[in-house]
Amino acid sequence: MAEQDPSTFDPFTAWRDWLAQFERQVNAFFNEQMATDGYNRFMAQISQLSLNGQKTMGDMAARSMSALNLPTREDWDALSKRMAAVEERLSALEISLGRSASTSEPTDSSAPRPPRTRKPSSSGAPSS
Amino acid sequence: MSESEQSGGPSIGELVRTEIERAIQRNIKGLEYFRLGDPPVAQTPRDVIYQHGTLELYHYRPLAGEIYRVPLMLVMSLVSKPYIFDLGPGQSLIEFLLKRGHDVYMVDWGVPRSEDSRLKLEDYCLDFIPECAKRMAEDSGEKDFSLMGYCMGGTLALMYAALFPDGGLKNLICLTTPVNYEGMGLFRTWSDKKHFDVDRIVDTLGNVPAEMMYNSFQMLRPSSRVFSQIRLWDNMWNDEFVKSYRLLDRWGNDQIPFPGECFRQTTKELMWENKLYKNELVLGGRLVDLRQIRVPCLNIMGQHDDIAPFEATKEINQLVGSTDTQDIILKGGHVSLLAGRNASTRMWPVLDRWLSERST
Repeated sequence: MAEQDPSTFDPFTAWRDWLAQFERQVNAFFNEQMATDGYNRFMAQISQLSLNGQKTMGDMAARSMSALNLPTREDWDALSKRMAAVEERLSALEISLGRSASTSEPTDSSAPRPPRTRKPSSSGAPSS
Repeated sequence: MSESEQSGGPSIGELVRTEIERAIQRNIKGLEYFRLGDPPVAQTPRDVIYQHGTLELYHYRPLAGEIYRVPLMLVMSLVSKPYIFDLGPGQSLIEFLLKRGHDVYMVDWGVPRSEDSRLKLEDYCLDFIPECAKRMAEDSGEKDFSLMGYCMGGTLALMYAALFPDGGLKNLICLTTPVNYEGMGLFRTWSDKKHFDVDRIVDTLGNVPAEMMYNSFQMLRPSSRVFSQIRLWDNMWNDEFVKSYRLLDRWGNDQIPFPGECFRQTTKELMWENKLYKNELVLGGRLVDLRQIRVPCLNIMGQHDDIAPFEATKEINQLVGSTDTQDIILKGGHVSLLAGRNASTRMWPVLDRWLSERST
């Protein structure tokens, strides 16, 4: 095996190489653990618990909101659906207005576009 | 003659001096790093030409005096923001393509709202992408177009291309696009139907929260967060490194929720049943048969991609019916393939060359 010439040895580069290698080893170790059936079962249980907790909290919050005569998440969702429909119509209006305005008042977006005649250069270098 | 000239490399004295200089710079620039806010992103000038719900279709203003006939439409994954294509001046794939004479459009799915949890693959592949293609054709005046998808955006692009073989698509580019979900590594293990109750997640949460998506990506390389901080400190003297790090870090932390029904469908039909790979996926009553894709197809893969591993991406060109196909495997991971210093010298020129030859 060829030995490192002490006069060209760079301890800082060696440290950086070691760090990259160590990172790969640590990731590989954890990935191996995370690929086991036991780990996945454990994570599924944790996730189940968390989802149950969230569902219970959500139900309780919804009941409390109803009791206080305040809008629930479903109400907000329904409202945001209607908002989305309004937004869509607004955006359609904006676009059609923009189009009619652009005929009299040119903007950057309606400025003449470059010709679509470009051909690839043999070297692949940009020609403009 | 100096010591370094005699030995062919810097001497220990020179190395120590460089390290001391860097240590001083680290302290000065380290303070500045914490003082600065998020770097600006997505600065290439663009116009919104179509909007539907959270979806926006952008047209980027040309930066060349003469452009290729065939416009290019970019499709992003559903789980990340699309500004990875346009990080910042000098670090933007879109800016690069514009300067090389391509006419670029991009579909931005936006951040899904709670009511978007009902969106399915059918909505994306049968409605949204075709509508964007139509709007792009109206805007550009060209019926033909190229389509490039990144990660799951590539999967959507593949599905669209298979469903609309006569829809004007001229070229297809898949960037780190999973097609064989048996090769999805840890993601497949974690979503094993023995333990993973996707119905319960979607029924309880609606959209899959951004934090859940972020954590699952982080778990693929659990120690990398710590090591990347060490690497940042080590390179704090290097302005270019820090600029790139901040942009990529901002994007990496900026996850978005995954629309619930689409997540359920992706898990069951793609991850569990691998239906796209087997040509068995049916969307809106129509079979997604990849053999229907006959346009030129470029498949770009990352050698060290842990999100869409090589095993999951490598067979696209064997599955499509195209005769003009090319596979390109580049050094890099899922993100470094597309953005950052290495991408601009490795992937971007390759993409430009392939596309420009087929965009006239």
